[in-house]
Amino acid sequence: MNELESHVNDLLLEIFENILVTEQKALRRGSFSDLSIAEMHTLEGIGLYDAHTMSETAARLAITTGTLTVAVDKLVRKGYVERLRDEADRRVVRVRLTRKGKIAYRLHMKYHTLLVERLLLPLDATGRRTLVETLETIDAFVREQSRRYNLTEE
Amino acid sequence: MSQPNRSEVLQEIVSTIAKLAGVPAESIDEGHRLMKDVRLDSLAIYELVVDLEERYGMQISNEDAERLETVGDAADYILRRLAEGGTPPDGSR
Repeated sequence: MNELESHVNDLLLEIFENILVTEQKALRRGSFSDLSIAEMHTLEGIGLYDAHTMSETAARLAITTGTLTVAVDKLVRKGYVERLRDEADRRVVRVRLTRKGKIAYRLHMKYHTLLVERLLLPLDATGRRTLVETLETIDAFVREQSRRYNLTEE
Repeated sequence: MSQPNRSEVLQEIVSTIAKLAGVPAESIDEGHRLMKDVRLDSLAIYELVVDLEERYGMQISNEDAERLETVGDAADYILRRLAEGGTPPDGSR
């Protein structure tokens, strides 16, 4: 890697690492210190509104229903999530956030909102478009790599 | 169920805020600023929002919540949303 490539690589890794570390620190200091970042992201996958089925929620989070079941069990015990039977088909289990879960979700979203606002604030329309295009390129590349690994594992 | 009037909505909001802030409802005025005068922090603001969503059967974004400066703003916001088509749920929490 040349100097520029090395700098870009360092920035990408630092941003990724620091976002996760800062999220975790914010959680530990706040009113939801019993939540891990992974659990917070499960709350995000469940969503603020509506009660989705376990398989729908697992698909949104790109995890198996088995993994989600374990995560939801813990979140139910901690009071962030509740399970309910589908009104039309009692065999179907749906999950939704409790009042406590909704408040934790909203506080967490505030962190993301501040982050994005800070990023966009100094940029004009052209700068914002360039930023979005760059991030989309990175996202597409990483997703493609991820798909390749998934195929190798199958 | 008919739409609540401003006085009813205001009373509901003041009662919820009083519980969250741990102060008597009588001490809260509609001109009071939620964060500066009533001293609700971000956590309490979101608690208020989640309670109002449930009470009035509507969805309130964080962005809208952060624009509510005073107690009266919150009442006007709820009334506006109800007038736009929100339906208050039957019964109370």
